Amino acid sequence: MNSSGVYVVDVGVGNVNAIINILKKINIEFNIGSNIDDIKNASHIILPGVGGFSDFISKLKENNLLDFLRDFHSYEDKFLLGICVGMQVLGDISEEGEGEGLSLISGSIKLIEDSEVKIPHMGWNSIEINSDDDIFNDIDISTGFYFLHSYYFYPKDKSHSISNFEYNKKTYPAFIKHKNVYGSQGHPEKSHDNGSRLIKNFCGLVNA
Amino acid sequence: MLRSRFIPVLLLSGSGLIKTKQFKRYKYLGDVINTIKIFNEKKVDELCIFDLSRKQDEGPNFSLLEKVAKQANMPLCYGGSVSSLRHAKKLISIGYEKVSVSREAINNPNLISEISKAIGRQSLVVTIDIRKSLFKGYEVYTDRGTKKEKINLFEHIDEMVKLGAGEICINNIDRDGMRTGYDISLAQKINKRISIPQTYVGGAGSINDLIELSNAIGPTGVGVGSEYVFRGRLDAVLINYYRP
Repeated sequence: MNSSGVYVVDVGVGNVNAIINILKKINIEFNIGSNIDDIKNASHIILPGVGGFSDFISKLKENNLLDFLRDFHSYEDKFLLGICVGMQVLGDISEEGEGEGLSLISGSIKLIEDSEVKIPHMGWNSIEINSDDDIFNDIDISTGFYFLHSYYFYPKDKSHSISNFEYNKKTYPAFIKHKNVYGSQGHPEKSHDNGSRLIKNFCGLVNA
Repeated sequence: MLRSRFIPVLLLSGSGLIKTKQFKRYKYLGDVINTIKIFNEKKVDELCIFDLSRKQDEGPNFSLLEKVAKQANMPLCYGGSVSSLRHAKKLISIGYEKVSVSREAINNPNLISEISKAIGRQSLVVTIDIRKSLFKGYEVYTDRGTKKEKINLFEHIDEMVKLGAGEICINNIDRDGMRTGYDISLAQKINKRISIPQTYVGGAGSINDLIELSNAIGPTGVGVGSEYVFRGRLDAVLINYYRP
């Protein structure tokens, strides 16, 4: 199946405006909504999420998107980017709420437990990158990204964490990847130049 | 490494921005959209907007706030007559990462747990306006500093954390616009007491003040008013941004 174009999934929770602003700014055409047929026709799908894990999963279900998304690895010419809670639902289960995730990247969502730090993890944090993936082209690791979360993605396979951030000498995944599926714990849509670059890089990914 | 957040704190009145001194109107700054555009170009860490002009039952000015959010590639916090879950959800949906509740957190504490459950703790800020009294210690105020509340500041903070606040913002009325430095000992006391992030507003007068607060309890939220909008002895309006 031939597919092309960027699609921003909007299931009515959280904020898609910020992503739209970035895409306009970097002159990338896109569609937005929750129409399964349109999503199937797109090549680069962005899944932004704010709020709770269970809430987000049930919204995806209501919009009949679950089966398609769970199958995403089979669409080799497509790419998926989950942001924040959109990243967390890529996993299997969450300590935050009931329900099964998309299981595209095996792992569980856990609460950051560290009595020496403030939770939520809030603000700009630098990242380290341990992959030569094109999504990181021109990303300034010391500036990093804006983070705002209490839960983190704990991948079963450590190699799926392609970038980490450090909080009180402990590391947590900043970006995860398995095959054609990416997740960003931070908020590229609210991270100035790094954010625009990352979104641009994602929209330019092609199957090698 | 997680860094302190240096945050322009802007006060909305209608569609214009003003700056206050000790919560009294001091100067008109200009149009809000233009100002946000400039702060966006300066790549500020985060931005906080408090609308002082909304009446209690009005709720936020969503149409204006949506236009503001379109200019912002950085995280936004909004406060001002947020009094229902619907307000909070709407703010998130139009592009605000954080919703600040102040008076209603005192009048209706259950709202805090309700909002926290719905949008997530990380997006809920409780803002507390305070004054230091010579004999009674810190006192909590609402309604733009006009109404003294009969509650204990520290007990209020504890309750808000327990109910699900993700951040506490302390707005110091006495220091507002005075540029005499932050109340560092209060910041240290609160920071020791609670396990969630904080932002302090009121008192920033130089880069040294920003450094002092950040060093004392950082990484933390460092709210800045006058310093980011005025220049010179006569307080000429000039939007600017710096961080240590």
